[in-house]
Amino acid sequence: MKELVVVSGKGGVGKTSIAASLAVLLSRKLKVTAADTDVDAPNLAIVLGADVRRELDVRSSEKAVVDVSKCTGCGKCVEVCKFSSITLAEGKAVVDRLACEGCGACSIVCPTNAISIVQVKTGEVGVADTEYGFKLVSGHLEIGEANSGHVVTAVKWLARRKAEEEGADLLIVDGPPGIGCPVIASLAAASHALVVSEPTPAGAWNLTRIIQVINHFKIPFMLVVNKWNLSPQYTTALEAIAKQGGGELAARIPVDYTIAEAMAMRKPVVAYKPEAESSKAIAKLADIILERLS
Amino acid sequence: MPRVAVTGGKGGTGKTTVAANTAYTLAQMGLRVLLIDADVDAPSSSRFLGVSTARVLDVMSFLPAVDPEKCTMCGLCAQACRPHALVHVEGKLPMLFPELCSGCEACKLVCPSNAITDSQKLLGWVNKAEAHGITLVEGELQPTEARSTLVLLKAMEYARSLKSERSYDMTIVDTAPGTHCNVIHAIRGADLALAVTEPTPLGVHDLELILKLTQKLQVRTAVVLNRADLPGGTPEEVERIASRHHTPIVAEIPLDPLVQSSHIQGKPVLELAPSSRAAEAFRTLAKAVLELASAGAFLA
Ligand code: SF4
Ligand code: SF4
Ligand code: SF4
Ligand code: SF4
Repeated sequence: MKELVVVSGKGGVGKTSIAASLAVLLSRKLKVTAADTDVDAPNLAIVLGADVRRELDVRSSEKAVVDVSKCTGCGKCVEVCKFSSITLAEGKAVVDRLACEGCGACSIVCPTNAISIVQVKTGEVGVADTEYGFKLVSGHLEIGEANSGHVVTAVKWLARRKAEEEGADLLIVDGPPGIGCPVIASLAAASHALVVSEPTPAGAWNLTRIIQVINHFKIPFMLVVNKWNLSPQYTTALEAIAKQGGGELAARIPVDYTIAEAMAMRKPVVAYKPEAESSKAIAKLADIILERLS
Repeated sequence: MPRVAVTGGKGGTGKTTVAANTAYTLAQMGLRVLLIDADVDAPSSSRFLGVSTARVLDVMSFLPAVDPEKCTMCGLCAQACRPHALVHVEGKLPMLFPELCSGCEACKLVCPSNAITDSQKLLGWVNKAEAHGITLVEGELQPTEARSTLVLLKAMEYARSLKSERSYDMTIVDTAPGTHCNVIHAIRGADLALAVTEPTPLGVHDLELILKLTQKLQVRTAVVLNRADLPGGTPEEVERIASRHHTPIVAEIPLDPLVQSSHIQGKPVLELAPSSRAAEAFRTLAKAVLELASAGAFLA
């Protein structure tokens, strides 16, 4: 099974719309399973008009908990906490649950064993049946949690299992924005990456950064420039950056408000209006991807 | 001095556009503005403002180094290491996976033979620029490093140190997308949060998450509707969510091609086209921000 991860150095460049459309188009040629690893803002289900049923909780976050009856207020825990997450208030240690990394350093030094490290819920993973005939695995992070990488890994685990059950040829993953932990977890063991970018100075800069991450994992990648006609000059610049980074230029998608209309209808643009300019460009992109995958 | 956090659920709703243009507008009104770009994964404010930054600070974190002379291969360090950055193999020195290390020093605390010494790794850096009457501070994550929180905290700390040298009338923080812990660090304690959204089902969905978060953090919040007149948009849905959370919509930024070209040219909308509809919307927004962040006194 092949695994294509759609990423972008920064959010809002049309990644989810493109991923949703690609999943629909490619599912007509291959057996496809889709996954959304943007666990901070899982939007693929919305664009596909699907409802996600919870299947499992991710409980990988850990937090320090203080037993106040044992705490003597010595302050040793405060000294060692690297994340400024524990303070003394009225002679007792108090943990800032949102900031605590659960590293356990405080519990190691506490002379009275007043601190224990407990597991808390980090997020949830679920599955949806889409009206396009393929399954979608999606996860979300509990508000204020850190370990989004763990939820991403859980989404990918369940997605691979569902894909195997379905006998899928391709897993399409709509990745998170950025270049940090959840992106790295999304790219883990991927066979191909598709980078979506926009022709602006910020777009060029974010492309450079995401390429460094992709190349670090030695994953072959393709570039798609969304809204390319906003700036043909910057489009050329983006393509030069991708080429230099060893990537392949896959497609240019024009500015097209049909994409926004389609989103309001909770449909991928290729299903909403196949004759739209953006749909035609995405169809070409799907053909190129199909060729590269085989 | 008031601090305003600009946030917006998912990426690409126009957070950076709003933060950079609000900062620029306030500076034009004569305020001394400190703009912090807390989206350390993809800091772009300097590109939106068309300024070049200088690297002022490296963000390092602790990484253990095992002294082979002292190590008894007991494995206690690996047991204490929750992210499994240290792995114990019977009869060998502990193996280190630097990319998993959080720098917590738990291993050093438990090692019975003082075999762990300080080594360092580069997590990222802090950049600074002065332009258009704005001081810009941005945190930047080293690509391939996963742990962005420390870079963010250092950038915020550096910004605080600037405030002790010089007084600012307003701090604006451009947060990362989402509702995870980095976003919380950037919003917590702010006098006002601006939730930037767009009139689409995704915008509505993510707005609700952000409003829940700011409510939990007890930060006063106002909604900015970006691309307000998007064809096929659902602004009434945004209004419904906002009013359900008792949050005012303080500005509607029109879908103006000038906003796009301001991104391409790397210039604030107000510099590029001061009399455009978008510029007018940013001025309305800046005034609302001043009022809501109870900074009205600075204008008098
Ligand atoms: S577990 Fe770690 S981060 Fe949490 S309070 Fe203790 S030392 Fe600080
Ligand atoms: S180290 Fe233990 S006893 Fe001392 S303040 Fe912290 S929790 Fe309390
Ligand atoms: S510093 Fe913390 S995370 Fe790093 S190796 Fe030591 S115990 Fe593990
Ligand atoms: S705890 Fe210290 S002595 Fe034991 S294996 Fe780790 S480094 Fe070696």
